[in-house]
Amino acid sequence: MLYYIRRKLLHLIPITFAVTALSFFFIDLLPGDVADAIAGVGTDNAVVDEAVVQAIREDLGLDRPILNRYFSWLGGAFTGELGKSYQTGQSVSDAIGLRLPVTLQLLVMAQCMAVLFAVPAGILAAYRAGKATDKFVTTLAFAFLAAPSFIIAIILAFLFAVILNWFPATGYVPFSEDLIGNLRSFFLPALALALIEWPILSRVLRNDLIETLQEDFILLAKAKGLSYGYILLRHALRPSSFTLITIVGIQLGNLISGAVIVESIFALPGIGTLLVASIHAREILMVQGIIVIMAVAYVVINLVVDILYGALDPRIRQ
Amino acid sequence: MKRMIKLITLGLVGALIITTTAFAQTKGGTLTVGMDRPMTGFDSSMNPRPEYNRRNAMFPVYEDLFSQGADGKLVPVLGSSVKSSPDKKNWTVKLKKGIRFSNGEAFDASAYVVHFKRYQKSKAWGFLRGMVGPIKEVVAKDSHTVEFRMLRPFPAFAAILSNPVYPMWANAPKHSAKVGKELNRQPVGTGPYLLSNWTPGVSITYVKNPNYRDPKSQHLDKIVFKVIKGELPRLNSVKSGAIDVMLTRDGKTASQAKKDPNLQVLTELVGGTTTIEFNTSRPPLNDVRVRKALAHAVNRRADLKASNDGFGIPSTDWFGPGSKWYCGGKTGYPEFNPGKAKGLLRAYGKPVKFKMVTMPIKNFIVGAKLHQTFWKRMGIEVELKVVPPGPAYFRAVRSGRFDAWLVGISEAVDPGLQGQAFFSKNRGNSTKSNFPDVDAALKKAWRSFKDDGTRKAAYCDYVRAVVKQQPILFRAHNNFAVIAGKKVKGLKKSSLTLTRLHKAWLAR
Repeated sequence: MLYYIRRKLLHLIPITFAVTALSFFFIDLLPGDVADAIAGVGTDNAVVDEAVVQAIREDLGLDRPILNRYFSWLGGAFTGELGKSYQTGQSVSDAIGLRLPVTLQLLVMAQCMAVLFAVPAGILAAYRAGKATDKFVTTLAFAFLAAPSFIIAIILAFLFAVILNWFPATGYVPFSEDLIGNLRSFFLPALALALIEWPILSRVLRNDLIETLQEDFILLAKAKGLSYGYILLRHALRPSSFTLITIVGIQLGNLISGAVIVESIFALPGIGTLLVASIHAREILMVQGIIVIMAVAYVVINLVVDILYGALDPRIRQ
Repeated sequence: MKRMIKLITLGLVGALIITTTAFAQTKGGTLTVGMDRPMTGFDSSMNPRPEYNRRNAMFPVYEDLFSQGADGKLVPVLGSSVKSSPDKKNWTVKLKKGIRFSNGEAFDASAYVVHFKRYQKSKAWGFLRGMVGPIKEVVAKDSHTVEFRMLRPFPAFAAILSNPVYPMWANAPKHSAKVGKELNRQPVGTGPYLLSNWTPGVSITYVKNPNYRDPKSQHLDKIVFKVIKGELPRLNSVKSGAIDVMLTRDGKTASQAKKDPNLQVLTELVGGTTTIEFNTSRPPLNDVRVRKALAHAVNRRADLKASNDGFGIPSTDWFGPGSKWYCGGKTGYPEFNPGKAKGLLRAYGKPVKFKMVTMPIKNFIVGAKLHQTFWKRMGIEVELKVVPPGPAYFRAVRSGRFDAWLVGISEAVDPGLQGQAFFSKNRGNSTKSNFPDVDAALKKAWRSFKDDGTRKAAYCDYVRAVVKQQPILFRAHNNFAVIAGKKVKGLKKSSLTLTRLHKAWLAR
């Protein structure tokens, strides 16, 4: 297992190298840069001398060849120095450090909620396969699957924050300040993500459960006179949850993209909003830092999923 | 006797009103304001952009030299008096004594000298000069007298001194020297509040300035600016009480807020205008008949309704009806007249086809498409290209690939700072205007600085000259709204999109 983990972690090196290089070069292809933004190009009636923009560019080292800039950044990244924001002077590590816990909490809460919805719905649909209950759960799942996360987020905010006033429409309360306030501020965003997430998990679990329920050992359990509920939960659920776990892992990564929108709507200061703002402001160092974190997160999540496989099925460990 | 009783009664009623108001100004609490864009920094030499979120978020820390009373006269704030030389080249400002920055440093003439020397050395000086005028140097005449020396006669400086023009907001000199570039993150002004915490892209927290000279006016314990992107999330936040105030330029948001009885909406007809500018140097837009036809072909009320929910009024010059420089709509701006447009195009006699660029923001893209539709009805073919806002957009405009482009023009504090883009010798003459009558009118406006009446007449002549040549189509005056929950008291209407939020208080 250790060899396996080491090998997976080694994958991080080429992955990080590839994604950071690609993002660095692609951002550089965009017209304009942070020097324009600093000089005021693009503001209402700004007439900015090109020499001013060029001087700022030189000041920030943006006039150096792109390869030179990339390797200089990479060198710094290896020593843990991810650079500073050109505009605000805030260190990239500090910015990410402040926002990462917010996104992590959002993703974990969203995924937990999604699993909480998906498992009972999947079991119910499998148990009543082909019947009205199954059809109802399937229709509901497809309805949520088809709805974009931002629509769900807006509806939730309107309903639960504006009309009912049960949860805040926006804002973030740190865990350390107020636990209840923290959970309240995360509830709607996490729910918005969970509602688009659970249908896939539920469908996967339903299909796997239906297959498992046709296995011989289930027949044996039935012959032993065990209750159907017991068979479902104790015998069928575990072998049917491999795909579910894989999808939970993969989707956790995909949720980051959904989180970008949901974080914006609920004004949660997470990695997603930081990434969007940094791309708009051409804060290339900030974007690079976030991409490194995301790449690492993807690899680590997949590693955890693989380890979980082993825990669930000893045959995989061997 | 009767008169005496009347006076006493009036006095008592007045005293009662004043006392009630004073008691109503409750102390304490945190005012939370939703910002649409993140703060980029407090040092205007590093972040010169005049974006309204940034200016509003900076305001609690700083103060102006003067403000303007309802009668338009100067009201002393940090300055006590101002005098100009007869040729309006030198402006002498006496500063109030005994004022301190929030870190305890004395506010005096040398602070202003240091402040402007920093700016003049910075790369943003060319940009900032567009807001404070052609300042050559700033000199301390004595400890509390500062002289602003201009490169040329500059009557507009009176307006700059009395309006919230953010490059005029001084930082504590010793602190500036000590922290260097970090001033962008650690501002120190004379304002009623001081920066307690700034998490870029998330929030800014201000607390009371303990050295403020008028503690009675510091009603709030804290002011927090939170970044909440998007109009709807911010409006929902005000409605649900997650924030107290939001600022917006969006008509739909303001209309929605007005319908909610739990909200208060203070709107400002800011002036400034959204426009469409033309490259007048090449066919077909080098012909004034075509440009006039384009103006006559568009129903601007329909444009305003579609692009900003009718929030505002069609514009006829750069200043709006709320400004003393407004030309009263008498600039000869062409009204909607499709028949006249067709006649002008017939007189031109050639097919009209050109390329226009816009940004993917609602007001602009809807406006551009609507103009395209109106022009199509006249047989004019317009190829529309959408380019992201910001640097990319202005590069596209300057590239020469487009014949027309949409642009917003902010209202300046004085005509002396506005409209120079149509002067043939101006570096920012993006419309490539070369009209002797426009140049002559602008030169006359620059030279007229006897009194405001003469200046306004000269400025309006200039606007009429521009409208006659039509290198620009005026769309609508930019509106601005402050939306707040009912518990926020003491809110004043914004001035040039700047709101003195730090003067508000919260009802218990």
